[in-house]
Amino acid sequence: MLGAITDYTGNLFDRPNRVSDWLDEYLPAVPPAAYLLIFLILPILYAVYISFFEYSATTIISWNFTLEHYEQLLFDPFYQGLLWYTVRLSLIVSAFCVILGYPLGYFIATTTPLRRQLALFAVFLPLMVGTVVRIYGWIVLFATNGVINTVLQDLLGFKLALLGNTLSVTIGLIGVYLPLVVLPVYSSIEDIPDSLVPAARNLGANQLQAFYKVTFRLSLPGLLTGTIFVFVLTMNSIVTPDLLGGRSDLTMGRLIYDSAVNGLNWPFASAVGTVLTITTTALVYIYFSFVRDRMGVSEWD
Amino acid sequence: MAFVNIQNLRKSYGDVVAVNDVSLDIEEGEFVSILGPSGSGKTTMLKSIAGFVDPTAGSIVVAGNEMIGLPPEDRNMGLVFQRLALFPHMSVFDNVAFGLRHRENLTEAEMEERVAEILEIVSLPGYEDRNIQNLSGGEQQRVALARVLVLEPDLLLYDEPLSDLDRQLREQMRREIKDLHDRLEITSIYVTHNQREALTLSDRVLVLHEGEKVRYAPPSEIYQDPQSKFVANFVGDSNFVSVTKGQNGTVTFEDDDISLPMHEADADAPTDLLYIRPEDITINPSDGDRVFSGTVRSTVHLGSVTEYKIEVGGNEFLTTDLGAPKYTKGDSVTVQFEDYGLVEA
Repeated sequence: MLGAITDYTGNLFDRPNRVSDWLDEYLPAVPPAAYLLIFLILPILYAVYISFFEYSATTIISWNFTLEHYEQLLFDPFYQGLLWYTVRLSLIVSAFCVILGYPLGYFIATTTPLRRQLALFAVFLPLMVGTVVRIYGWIVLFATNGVINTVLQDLLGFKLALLGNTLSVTIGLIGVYLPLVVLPVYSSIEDIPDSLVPAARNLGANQLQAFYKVTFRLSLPGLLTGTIFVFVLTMNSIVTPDLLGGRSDLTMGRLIYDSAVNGLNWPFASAVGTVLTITTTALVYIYFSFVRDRMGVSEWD
Repeated sequence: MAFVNIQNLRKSYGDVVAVNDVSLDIEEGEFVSILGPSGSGKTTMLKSIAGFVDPTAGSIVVAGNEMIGLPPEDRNMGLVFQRLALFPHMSVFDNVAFGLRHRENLTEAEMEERVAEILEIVSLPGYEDRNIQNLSGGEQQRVALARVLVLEPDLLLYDEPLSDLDRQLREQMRREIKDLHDRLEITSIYVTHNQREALTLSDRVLVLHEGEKVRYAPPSEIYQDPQSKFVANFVGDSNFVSVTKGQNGTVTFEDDDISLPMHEADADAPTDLLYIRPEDITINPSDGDRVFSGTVRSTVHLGSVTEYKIEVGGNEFLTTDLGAPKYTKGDSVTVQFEDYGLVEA
């Protein structure tokens, strides 16, 4: 009787069935993998593919091989300037998100529970409001005849150009993406055991040294995650520069949108997308390698 | 003046007094435990000494220098934390060298030599390049010790370093700490709620209760002469009986006609509470005085000893006996009260 039971459970748990083991392990991954393949990888490959063919005003793609889109993008000063504008904007927005977001994340992680809840709510709140709604709110504030300028005109007799320039685009993007730095920084600082900073102080480090060698080092993975999010999203931003920027605030994202939707030039739009993706990936990789090599993040992250 | 001299140390948070005017002298090379239940103020005291809590009043002098007002990094003390607080992003070498980099001006070669030396002492030779996360609990414990010992601190502070370990490792580390102290003779303060650790490690034990100093004496003295009900109960187990003092040097149990001769030392004690240690009660003695009859109420086998509850008159007494259970519930036995004393309620 006992033998029968052990035989049965032995069979149940140690099936030497390779096919079903394989299924058990990989089956849950099949639907998301299929989704990614069909709706992400194949379209990207197709886009890269068509970027090597000529544009035709009648059929959109004429199947004649060409490198002209890439030549234009990489050597025409106008398009060079556009790529540089996008990279510079992304670097500036990422830098300000770090400068503003790190102290805020640190504050949230180290303050009293009540203040933490209020601050977290304040950080989350903008994420609940859609980007477009928020930006239209800013337009109401910043416009030539908007709230701020009306007050300025009445009180001081002059107006400021608050909208339609690079400054408004930068401020807008920082506002949209700041939570993406604050939240991972907050969570990685909160995970640091309370006794590590006192231990560093006990071993002779002053407050600043203890912060740098312990808190800052251990929060680097969170900071790294946050800045990569912000950088990648700014590189690809369309709506915020479009609504808050002027004619010259043309990002690579806006160029893709204009070429594909307004100009129906799919090959060129695909080439812009390819250049943008490669540039973004390369810059993220350089940043990641720098932090890894200089700060030794990879060993424990 | 003693090597460590703490005078009227006081810390209050609003109306709550965590440490209430505690004074303490520690000689150089002494190992002192601060023993108390949670909330007794022992951790607050340790943090005040280490510089992480600003005392409301009092003074802390170590090796002739007043510590109050100095930041933690300027007090030459080593603190071993309850959860060790090793730096997870650094190797064993960098953990141990952390203090050397901040406190001393050494070349890389001198530093390597000092680290290797101290790792040898804590039995972790050649562990420099190991990752902290890949070490066992006991090895991490030794790195935490090495990290503070390498600085040759004036004073070594332990904040319940063994309370998170399993029993076997705890016993082993307790012996290693004792052994290290015997070899290096660094003045040490050990905070614990575990009376066994306090009694076995220390030269003297400070017993704290609700922020007050209850007793400060060598372990054997505290155990043999607890003086108060709190100490008698917290340091080892005790049975307590209310008694009335007789004229002829006896004490009589309040609810029974059991009388025992009083110790001379207790004659003037202004108290009517008697304590009897479980091991001072013998079941079915071959002969002798102070023998009374009772009934076994419960039996618990604890391995090397058996614990009995025996009803004698109107009181139940806890007692222990070596070996497996010899009596079961309901058995009639005789008990002998071999030793006892009076304590303040």
